[in-house]
Amino acid sequence: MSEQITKEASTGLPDRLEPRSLASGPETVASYAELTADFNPIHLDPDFAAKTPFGGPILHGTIGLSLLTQAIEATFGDAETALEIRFLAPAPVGARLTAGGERLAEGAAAYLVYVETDDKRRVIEGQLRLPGTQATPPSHTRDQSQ
Amino acid sequence: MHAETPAVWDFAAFTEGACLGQVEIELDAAHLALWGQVFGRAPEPEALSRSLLVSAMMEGYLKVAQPRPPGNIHAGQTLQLKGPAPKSGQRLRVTTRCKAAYERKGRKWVRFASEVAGSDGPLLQGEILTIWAR
Repeated sequence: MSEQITKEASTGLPDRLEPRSLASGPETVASYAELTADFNPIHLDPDFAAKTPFGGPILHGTIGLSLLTQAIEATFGDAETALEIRFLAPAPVGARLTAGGERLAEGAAAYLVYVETDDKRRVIEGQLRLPGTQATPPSHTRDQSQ
Repeated sequence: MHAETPAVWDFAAFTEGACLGQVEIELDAAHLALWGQVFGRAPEPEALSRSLLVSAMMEGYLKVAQPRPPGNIHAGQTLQLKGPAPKSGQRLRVTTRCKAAYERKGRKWVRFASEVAGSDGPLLQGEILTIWAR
């Protein structure tokens, strides 16, 4: 992706995470099932999955979570991070996922993070904090403390 | 406290604070090859992606919460990641506990606490929030 990630001068923190994407297919979920010992047929068996409310196989939710972890480490390296997310919706096998995030407020060491499909449907959303990072409080907070 | 392994991990089997079990996982060639197949790139042996800690957390949890009823939903997750990136061949110890089990609005919620540790201490600590089927 050629879009430039800008950094705030006062904190050195980027405005956005370095995005990471993944094109999925049946082979993706087959390998991930082996990796995690998660052989739920909702991910692997098209006949079984067709009879569920999803209508077909869905990706393991933690594939998206792993992709988000990769976007975070691409942005912050091995810094200590604290992440809290919700799985909002399943993504069908075959979907392309993109993980990214945007800083919540100027000066904050916290980000709104997400994983979404190409049609911008969010499958994961949550917050990332960087506990070890000294960040300048948002301007309205500074004003109140004076 | 260590939980006795029930015939099936249904909701009634969970005791808050009880350890479901520990699993040792080596980030061996098989794990790295599978990770590479999923994410479409070769892992760097001396600085593996921390996302391998996430997959180790899931492997450890799924191997001890076994057998379990079908239809559970992974609803949310917290992760605290610290320490250096894992390395090829590193041995990880994954511990899974029941942090809380409660009913709310007709749903059965189980919150698991997971720790993935190397020889120098924890690398990942997190909570797996699930809606248990029965």
